[in-house]
Parts: sequence; C-alpha cells; structure tokens
Amino acid sequence: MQQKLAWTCLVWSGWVGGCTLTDIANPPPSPPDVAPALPIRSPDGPPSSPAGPRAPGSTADDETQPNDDPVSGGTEEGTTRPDGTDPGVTGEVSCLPPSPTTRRLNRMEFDHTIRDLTGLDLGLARDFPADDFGYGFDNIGAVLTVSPLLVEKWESAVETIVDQVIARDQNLVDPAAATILQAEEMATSIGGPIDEGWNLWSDGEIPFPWNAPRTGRYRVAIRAYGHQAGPDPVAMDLRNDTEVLASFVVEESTYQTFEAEIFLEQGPVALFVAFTNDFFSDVDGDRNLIVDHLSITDLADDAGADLSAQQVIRCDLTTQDPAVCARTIFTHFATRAWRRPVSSAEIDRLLAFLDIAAAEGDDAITGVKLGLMAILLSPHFLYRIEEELSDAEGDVRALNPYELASRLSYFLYASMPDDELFAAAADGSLLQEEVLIAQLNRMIADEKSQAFVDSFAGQWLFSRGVRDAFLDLNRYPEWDDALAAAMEMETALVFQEFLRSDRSMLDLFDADFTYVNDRLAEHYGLPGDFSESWTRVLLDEQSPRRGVLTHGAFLTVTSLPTRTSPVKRGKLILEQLLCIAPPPPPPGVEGLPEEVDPTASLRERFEQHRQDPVCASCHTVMDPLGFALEHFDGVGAWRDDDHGFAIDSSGLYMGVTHFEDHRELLGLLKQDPLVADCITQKSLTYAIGHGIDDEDRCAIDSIRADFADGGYRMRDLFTAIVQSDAFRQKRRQTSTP
Amino acid sequence: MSTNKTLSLHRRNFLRGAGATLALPFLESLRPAKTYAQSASAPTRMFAFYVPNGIHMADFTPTQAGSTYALPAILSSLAPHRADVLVLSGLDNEPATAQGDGNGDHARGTSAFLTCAHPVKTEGANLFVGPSMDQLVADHYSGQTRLRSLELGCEGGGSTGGCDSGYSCAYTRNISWRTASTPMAKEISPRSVFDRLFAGMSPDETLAQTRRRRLYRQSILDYVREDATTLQARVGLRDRQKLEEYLTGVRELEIRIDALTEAPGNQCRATEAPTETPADFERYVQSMLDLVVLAFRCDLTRVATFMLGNGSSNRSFGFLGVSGSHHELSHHQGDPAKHAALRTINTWEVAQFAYLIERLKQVEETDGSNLLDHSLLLFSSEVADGNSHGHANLPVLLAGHGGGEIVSGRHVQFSGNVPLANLYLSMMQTIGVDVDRFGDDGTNRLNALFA
Repeated sequence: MQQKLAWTCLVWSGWVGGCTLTDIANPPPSPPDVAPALPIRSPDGPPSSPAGPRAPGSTADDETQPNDDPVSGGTEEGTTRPDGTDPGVTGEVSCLPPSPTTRRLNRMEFDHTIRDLTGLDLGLARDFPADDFGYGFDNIGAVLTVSPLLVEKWESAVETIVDQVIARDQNLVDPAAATILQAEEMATSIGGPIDEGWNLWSDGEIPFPWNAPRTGRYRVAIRAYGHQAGPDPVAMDLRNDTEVLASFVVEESTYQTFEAEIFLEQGPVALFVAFTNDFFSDVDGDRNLIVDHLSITDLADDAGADLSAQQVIRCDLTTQDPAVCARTIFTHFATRAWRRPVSSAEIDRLLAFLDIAAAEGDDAITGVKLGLMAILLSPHFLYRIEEELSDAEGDVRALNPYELASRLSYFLYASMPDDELFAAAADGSLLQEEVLIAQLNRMIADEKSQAFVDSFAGQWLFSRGVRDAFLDLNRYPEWDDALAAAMEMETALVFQEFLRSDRSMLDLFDADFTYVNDRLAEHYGLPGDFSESWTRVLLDEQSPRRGVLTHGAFLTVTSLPTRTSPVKRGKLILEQLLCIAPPPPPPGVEGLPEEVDPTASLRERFEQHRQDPVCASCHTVMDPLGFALEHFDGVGAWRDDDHGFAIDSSGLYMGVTHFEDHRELLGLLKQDPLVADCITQKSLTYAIGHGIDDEDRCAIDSIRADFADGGYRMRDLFTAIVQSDAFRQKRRQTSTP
Repeated sequence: MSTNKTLSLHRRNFLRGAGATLALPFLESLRPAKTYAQSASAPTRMFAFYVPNGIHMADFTPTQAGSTYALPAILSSLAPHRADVLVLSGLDNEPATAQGDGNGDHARGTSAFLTCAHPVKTEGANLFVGPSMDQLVADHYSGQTRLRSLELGCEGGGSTGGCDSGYSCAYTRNISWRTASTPMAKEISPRSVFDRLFAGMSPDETLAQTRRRRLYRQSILDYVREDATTLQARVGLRDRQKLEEYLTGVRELEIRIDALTEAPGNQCRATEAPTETPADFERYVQSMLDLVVLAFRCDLTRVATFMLGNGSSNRSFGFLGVSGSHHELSHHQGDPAKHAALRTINTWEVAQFAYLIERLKQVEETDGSNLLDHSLLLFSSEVADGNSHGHANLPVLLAGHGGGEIVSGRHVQFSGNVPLANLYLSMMQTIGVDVDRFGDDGTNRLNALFA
C-alpha cells in the first residue's frame, strides 16, 4: 500500500506544517461487501491470533484512536524507534487476511523450481517475455499475466527439460550403461567439427558439464586420436575446474579409448578434455587433438539403490512392467512438481500417455516423456494453486501445510520447497508455530535464500535495474557491464549480511561497512589494495559511502543517461523507503522539463521551476532528498562540484528538519517511523505476492510491532510475517483484488 | 514437409557462434518462397513500426500536399521510395487523451497506438484497453500461416519501478493486444525470434513423423486444458480469470500446432540463425526487421509489429552523436539544441523504416510484383510532439501498396479531427477484414487513400 496523498501535495504542505495526517492514517472505510468484519475461523490450523488490531470494515470514525496512527501517534518525534507496542490490541475484532490472486511462476521462480526439481540448471526462462510487475515487485499474482507467447515458450522449455532429464537419467537406472557426451555438442571456443568429433586445433579444452547422480567412483572413457606432427605425440589431459585428473599420450591416428577412474561429488560437475601441446610448422605439419566423445560409467556396486530426489526416471521401463514403472515415475515427479500429494486418479490420467505412444508404435519411454511434459505444462506446476474455500469453511481458512510450505519456499527461495520442508508439510508439523519458525530459520541460513536477496532487495533498492540502465558512454566512458555487475553485487552482499546477522535493518541507511572489489573500490575512490574478489570494508563516520542510498546501483538507476536526477532520486526515496507516492504532476506539466540554462547550477534551475506554487507543494518535499545526494554523479562516483558549480547538499527533511548533508539526511531518514512501516509493507507485499492496501493496514501494524520489539532485525520481521494471519490464512476471493 | 536440405537449422551453428555478431545470411534467396495456391494474388501483409516519444513535427510534415511535396529533413531517407509512401497529416488518436485520467500520455498513447481505445488507468490488476488492429488482421488470416502474428521490439522492460504515472508497464511495453486485457508480449532477441519462426521445421522429418509429433503435442494440450478447466471450478473468482488467460494461450498454441501440418513448409531457405543480440543498435534494429522480411517472404506470418523502444523510452543515442536520453530530449521546451537532437534521432528512425521498405522491395512475388506491393506498413509514435504530448495531428507514414488499392506517393492532409482509427479501418478493409467500426472512434474508411 502506498500512502496515497490525496489530490495534491498541498495536503503535504499542511502535514509538514504540523497536520496530523489523518488522511493517511485513517483509510476510508472499505465497502461492506468487500470486507465484512467477520471473525476468523480456521478449522484446521492453529487458532488465529487475537492480536489483529482492527477490522478494516469498521468505519473511519471507529478508528480515530491517536495511537493507531503509525505516523503521528504513539511515536515520539525524534526517537529512533516507533512505539513498539501494538497500539490496536483491543481483542474485540480480528482483521481479515488478504486473498491474493493465484501466482504463476515468474521467470526467476520457473528457473529455480526447475533447478531444484530436476537438478538441471538450464536458465530457460531467459527467453520468456519480461514479467509484469506492480506494487514494486514482479511476483504479484493479480498483476502477472499469461500471454500466448508465454504459453508457447513454456511448452518449448518443458520439452527441453524433459529431454534432458531423460537423457541424463536413462543411463542411471542401468548403471552398466554409460552416459555419452558428444564432443561436437559441447560449447567449445576453439576448433571445429571433424570425423563425427571435434578437432582441437590449438591448445584448449572441451567442457563436458555433467550432473553426478551420487557421490562415488566413476570410470571416464575418452574416445580420441591425434593428428601427429613434430617431435612429440599429442598430449591430452582430463581435468576438472581445479586440477588435472589424468594425463594421456595420444600416439594413435585413429580413434582409441582412453580411460581413467575418478571420484565425483554428487551434483553438477565440469570435466574438461584439454589439448596441451599444440605444434605447427610449414615443414612438419599441424598437431591436433580430435575428440569424439566422453563417456561416464558409475562404478558403484549399489547403483540405483539410493536415488536422489531429483532423479526422475526411477526404474527401468524396459525390464519392468512399464505401467508399474511409469506410475512410480509419475507419482514421484508430479508430487514434487505440483508441491502436493497427487491422487491415483491424476496418475491414471497421466498413464494414458503410454497408450497414446503405443498406438503410434512408440515405446514406453516416449509415453513417459509425454506425461512428464504434461506435468510441467499443467497449471498445477505453473501456478501456485490455493483452492477456494468450501461453503462450509466460510470466508477465511488456514492454509493447508503444503500451501504454507510453498508460500514459505517461494518467499525465501523463489523456488519449490526442499525435501525437509516437504517432510514438515507431509506430517503436518509445519502447522505448529515452532516448527514453522524453525523451518524459517533453517531456510534463512540456507544459501538458496540468496534468491530473496537478489529478488526482493534487487527490486526494493533498485539494484536489479542497474543491468538495464541506459547510459551515455560519451558522458560516462568508465561505464561497462563489469561495473554494473559489481554495483548489483555490492548491494546484494550488504543486504545479505543484514539477512543473516542480527543487525537492525534501519542500519541499512548508514551501515558502517560495504563490500567492494577492485573495480568498485576504484570507482568509489576507496584507498587500499583490492582484488577481483569481494572485500568487506569498514567505513568510518566521515565516509560518504555509508548506507544503501550511497551505493552505485541506487545512484545510477535513479539518474538519467547524462546526469543525475535529484527529482527521481527524491521520488524513489519517498516511494521505496517511506511508501509515499507523490501524486503525478498536474496535467500539462508531465515529467516537468528541466531547464537548460548553462549559466545556472542544476539546483538553481530546479529552484526556478519551484517558483510555481503548484509544483512547489510536492517538490519542496521531494527535491531536497535528491539534492542531498548531489555529490554522487550519475554513476555514483563522488564529485566535489558539479561541472564547476558548488554543490549544496543541505536542505529540509519533509520541509521541517534541517540537514547539512546526505549523512545527516540518512540519519533523519533512519529515525523516521515511516521507514520501518514501509519496510514491513514491502516485505509483506513480496511475501504473499499481493498488493497491500488499506484493508491490510491491521496486518502491517501487527507485524511492524513485532519487528520493532526485536530491534528491527530482518529475522524478526520474517518471523512476524510468517506467523501472521496474512501469511498463514486466506480469505474468500471477491472480484476485485 | 520439404526435404530440401538447404533449410539447415543446426542449433549448434548459432550456439557456437564464437562471438560473431549477427550477419544476415539467412536471406539467401530473394526469389519468392511460396506460391499461393488458393488465390491468384499474394496476400497483403501488415506491419506497424512504433517509435517512442513522438516526432519533431516541424521537420516531419511536408509543407505542401499532393505528390510534388518537398521531403522534409526527417523523411530524407524516403527519397528513393517516395512513390511507395503516403505521408498522412491531420490524423488524431482521441482515445489516447486524458479524459479525466490525468498524466500518463506515453502509456495511453502507446496502448492506444493500435487499439484506438482509451485504457483503464491501473497499476496492473485490471488491464483493459481493446484488441489491436493487427490482431484483427491476424484473426482474418488465422490458420493460414504458422504464426498468427509476430510481435517484436528492441527493449524488454526494466525490472524495477513503475512505468508512467500510475499506468501498468503493460501499457507502455505492448502495442499489440489480443483482447482488451491480454497484451501480446514481444520478442526482443533475434535468435529467439528465429527459433520461433522455424521451430519444428526439421528438414529430415517425414510427413508421418510430423503428424505424430503434432498428435503428441495436442494430447499434452488436451491434458493440461482439462486440468485448467477442472481447476477453474475449485478456485476463487479472480483465479478463474487467471486460468482463462492460460486457456487462451493453450488454444492459441493448438491453432499454431494445427498450422504446422495444415500449412506445410515451403521452400524457404534459412542457412544460418542469428547468434546473439548485436551490441550495435542499428544492427540490432535491422536484424529484427530482416526477420520480419524473412517471415513475410516465407509466409510464416502476415502480421507483424515492432517497437523500436517502449513508451517514453530513455534510450541514449550516443552513437548518432546525440547527447542526452530520448525521453528527456523530447521535453525540448523549444530549445533549438534539443530540436536538433530530436531531428537526428527521428531521421535515423525513419531511415530504419526506409531500410525495411528497401528490403521488401527486393523480394519478388511470383507474379512479378514485389513484397512491398502486397504490404501495408505503418510508421508512427504514441504522441505527436514529445513536449506537448498531444495525440492530435500525429506523425503517420503508410508505405506499400496493399495489393494495388492504395494510391501512394502523396502527402495527404486531413482536417477536422479525423480519427486515426479510420486509417486502421481502411487498412483492415483493404486487407479484407470484415469490419466497419474500430476502437472508440473508427467509423469510416479514408477515401482519400484510394484511387
């Protein structure tokens, strides 16, 4: 929910002059048919919390308790934290949880889910159309649409996935069979095709990516020969990322097989076949290595006994009854893909694909392939279905444990539940609060929660946008993809530290540390020796680089291709950190053009257009926030002046409180209770994929109170979110979101 | 399916591209690719070329009407093609105006660009504007080509923030709308477009194999359609609508799969696929336009739209020697330096349109005419002047002869609030679409276009 400022910022002016902001604090009553004030009934789940402070259906008059107001009431001006107590606990009425629209998987979720489901990290969603976003995020159910193009892309991706899964797994069922990787099908940068193989015509290597089904010993066989020339025979190495596993002398001039036994950990592995002694002379000829394929055989005696969950083909269709084996395969795969138990009727429908294939004279594996494709193209996979309440359930129900597991895993992993979370759903224990919290903490610690950092922080703090920034390279010759990537990484690393540590999230705005690599340190002008790897640096109080608003990513994304945009910076601070949406400019002055008067500083030019009182009402609030950051240029580099003009980064915060420079501004911002409220709103919006509106005010208030109690740790915020009714329950859908 | 081996689409060729940027060898032959058995003459193709942020009108609109007008600076690249082009002035897209909705002219102008309908102002939960004219043409040709239509562009979408004054990004990123609430997402990768054009066209596949493959795909779609339909009964009101979008997509895909065997392949030659998106913007644009020519020539589709950028794009045109970003420059406030920059950008934009005209002219049809003779190509922007954001007197070019009905080579001035929708009605009727009203205000054909 954005705090919508009614009509114009003239309201603002009133507020900053001391108005109590009743327009914001007291949302208009919701239409009674949309949000009837009903008590929560949760037949299956834990009893609903009595802490819900207010019913949204009550009238505005009922709500005018001073302490209800997150902005002006209950919170002493100038204190560092808003009042931690939940002001609205009356115990009389509960607020209703939202009813989010079903969410289709967005691009990131699709890729992550396929990775965790199959073990294949294919990145196929790269070719999908851009996801729609609203309310600041690209995971909002009501906003995400499905275009015909997307369905087409889904179908094509699903076929690729299933083909690769079958190619990988077929050999695993029969451990004696080898996986054969053709050299000419690998992504090799040197050489060319020859003799059904690949000719490495100078020193280089062919990568053979593979996914080891288990940890253990494997036999690798390389079929190769050499173009012999010069004094030495062809030399060939088998390597992984870090070391040579075996070296071979290839004396033959026709295909031979070269074998080695190696040890592999379960999971993705990169093997390389390298040509190491290239030779060429006009007299003696050209020495080359020709590789046909690399095959891998599992040497474990008990192969097949201990299948990983990601193995899809789990039995041998050629030796077992195909219908029995296919049932095993479909049941295992559909349960994981659909993130819930499947009925035998659902499996029966899938088994029909074996008959369809048989009628065409194709074998059972073809039928299984069709069934697997259907599982992935089904809305049960592509959408996160939470079924509507039955009439008996009334208007609110608790989520079942599988639905809850999916909400939790897409919140933190942007992916399907992992095995442990599934298990907690399967035995129902996830509905117990302590189990839910234990799972949450386990998942925060798991590296897969990096997805939350990339997705949530990337969108909330705009660092994801730095990849798409259009910049004028004449103006910023230093700009390139490496710098953009470094900026995005910096914000991600800083945010990640807040996720995993016990720091107050409010410190995000003046953190005494950041992460840099050599490129970024140079860009920032940080003294010291840095390398390509990332270094955590401590920043003293005088450092201008404290806090996420001084990160290159935020500063670049909020600039124009050739210069900074203080208005844009100010507007985004209001929207992203304070959840205040300034109204658009009055009709006729859209995107108010900025004067080009080379004899005036940028700030002076802005002051000119602020002469108009209509403009001034908003810009007196917005612009100073941006001007405070004017010492950072359009790509976030520090500058002492703006093309010869002195920079004045002082101003009034919200038209009232003076700050001298951006450091003081960040201090004021950090103390503003609206910030914690806004973080709560943004996080809940992301967590449930639903645009928070006035109706959800009571959920925000309750979560924010717990967030405050813990000292604004991200962990406390998440705990409060996943414990909230908004997260664990759903309400009957009405026609509007 | 032809077994012509020249259609060799080895994935490896382009996966392996070794950093080669897109060369365009895939138009190996400029001879006609297909003969049209059912009708004596070639069908009329329709294409729309959208440029963001308006046009510097002073250097776009000819001062004289008729056929002897002097070419203004921005249109200079059309000199070789003036006999094939109509410059149309005085057309208004009234549905794009505010009508009480406040700011957001870029979003409104872009979403009304081909729909001539007034969009519902929303952040995204209840999109509504109207079907676009290209989609009505696509309906007309439905089932006759592998693809109903092709939506292309050179700008995906930023992944942060909003788009325009409270309008969903769907309104600034799409000009093609299948229905009032379903935008047709566009492709921005040449490789991806190429894949899509030729997907499933394997030269080595026998007819029996093609049929079996089609049957399998249909059986999967049958299965998932049943899933979605069953689910609709068990989910909430809004979820039902979401599943309806899915079902629409499934139906579209079925039609497409049908077309694979109903309209079997042709002699089209495509020897090498694009490798990656060119870093050079002009090459990028032209590679997308080449794909349009390829698709038209091979009759893989008859309808295509292209967005040079998204509505209010802030692309930097440094490669033209222009400093500043497009949207920012378009707020020129009468500054001559910004006018000059806009003139440079607009001139280049029209030159890309001229490039397409040139390529289409090079393709012969079986009857000796060329592809341009059987095309209607529209060029315009979401606003007229970028500073005032007006939707009246839009910059409009119409190239091609629409099968001979259009009298080209003129500047036609309209006066008295003539709706842009009437131009679209005229184009659709020329193509043979049975329609007599379009959008919010299209009621009449523009007789001035015809002989």
